[in-house]
Amino acid sequence: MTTASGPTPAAAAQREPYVRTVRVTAVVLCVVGAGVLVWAFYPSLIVFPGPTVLAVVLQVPLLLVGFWLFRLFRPLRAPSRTWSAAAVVWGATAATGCALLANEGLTGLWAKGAGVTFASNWSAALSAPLNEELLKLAGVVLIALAAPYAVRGPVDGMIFGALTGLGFQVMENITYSLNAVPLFGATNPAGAVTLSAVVRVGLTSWGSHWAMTAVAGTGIGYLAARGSRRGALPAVGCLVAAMAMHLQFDAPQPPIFLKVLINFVVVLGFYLWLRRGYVARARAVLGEQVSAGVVPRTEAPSLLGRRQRRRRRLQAPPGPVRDEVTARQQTALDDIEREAADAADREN
Amino acid sequence: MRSKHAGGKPRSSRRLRWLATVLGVMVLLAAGWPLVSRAVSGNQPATAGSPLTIGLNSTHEAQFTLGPGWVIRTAESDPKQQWVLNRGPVDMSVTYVTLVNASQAGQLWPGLRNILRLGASSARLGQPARLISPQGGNGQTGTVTVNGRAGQAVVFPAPGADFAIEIVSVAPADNSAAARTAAAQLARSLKFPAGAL
Repeated sequence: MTTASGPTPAAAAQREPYVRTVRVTAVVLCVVGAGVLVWAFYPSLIVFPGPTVLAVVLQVPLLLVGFWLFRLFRPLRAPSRTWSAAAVVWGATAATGCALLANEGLTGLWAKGAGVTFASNWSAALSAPLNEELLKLAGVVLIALAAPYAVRGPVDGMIFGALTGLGFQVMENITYSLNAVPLFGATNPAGAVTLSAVVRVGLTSWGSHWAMTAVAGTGIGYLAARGSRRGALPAVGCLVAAMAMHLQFDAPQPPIFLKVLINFVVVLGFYLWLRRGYVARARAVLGEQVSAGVVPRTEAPSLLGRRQRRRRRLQAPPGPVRDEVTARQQTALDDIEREAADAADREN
Repeated sequence: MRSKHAGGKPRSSRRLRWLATVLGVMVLLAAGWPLVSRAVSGNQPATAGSPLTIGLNSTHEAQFTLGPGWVIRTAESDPKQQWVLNRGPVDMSVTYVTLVNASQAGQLWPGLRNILRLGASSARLGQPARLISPQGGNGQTGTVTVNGRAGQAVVFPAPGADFAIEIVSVAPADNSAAARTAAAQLARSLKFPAGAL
């Protein structure tokens, strides 16, 4: 059990020298990605300032709702707000900026090698899954390296993957809105931006980047929990599944609503399966801790639910007593989350 | 019970290897593809007199024909949205734009002016003059200058005004006549199969 005094393993890991290197590198890559985006879309801000601001504003609800929802989806308690935000920022800057360059290069190659008609139908479906899934997934890997213990198992990987995908999706929606202006001949820039945003938020957002990267990110969770040798196969499987989801999403057929539905059902089913196992393991760990006297029997029933924990805290008088209850809950949850992170760990 | 990955000695070198892998993949994708693409030639000779199609589907498309000597820049071309063409000093683009309603056709010229400014802040589009196609369609044409290059721009709404074709042709100033001629020739060949002009 984690003791109240002395550094926790998580705190000790934060001081590892490589952690600083990873964090600095990640920040630099985010700045580079943001620079690429600014370079590419600065003219839109100059020529169409109002529609450009509109394109950003129209994505804010998706960003806020997605951020709240995905953090809520983590069983027991939400992931760190800082690292959740970092995941979104990675997706919206480093991943998107680099994808802009990579996609331009690869789609050009498809046109040169296979002809413009083939490229028109298939270059997005054959380029984006490879480039974008790897670039987004890089963010989940960096969070696992930069924030040891933030990604402990598949569920954590899925949540951080969804958040990274959300950042990518929001930025991509903005760029699509801006690109829609010339596609409509710039005859009604605000209308083009709004139309694009409505379609991409109202329809495609249900099964787009967040869903694909949630699946790919789950693999990083397996790696974090099981190590390279035992985690590699499920990690590769998750990445390939995410790429397949992306390929079918960008393919010329079937109709878009069906593509969205397929991705949504896949990620929802995967999440529910992982969540069920996670919660079952958490209950088992809690039972063991109660039996061992680590967690008081009176506190156990309220420990695994967000609302129950809050109610239990509010029952305590404000001040040191409530603080102590809060600290006890957090310590117990640290232990439970560590033990419940992955089924393979429970077998060791 | 707890996995061996939780505690133990720091694994800095392994984690730094992961970091190096991530960096390597990112550089490979973001710099590698563009470099390889640049190394591969993207010019494909266009067949003179053979019609090229542009548009989303058979009800929303236009056809045009090119004279001899034109080259298609494949990496920038997409039969649904845009053909980017080159002949000697002349660069020409043929672009499909969607119109949500017929009233927007009147905004095509100022819209094109702004689109050109997206590519180059110095781009200038002259006042439009009326242009009647051989099929009787109403278009607009005018001079264009972009980054010291000069030529002609042409805009033609489709008969139903639910889409339009925009032609921009430029060349260095001393070849601007060739660019203007190229735009005029292409505009004369433009047809909208789904509706008679």
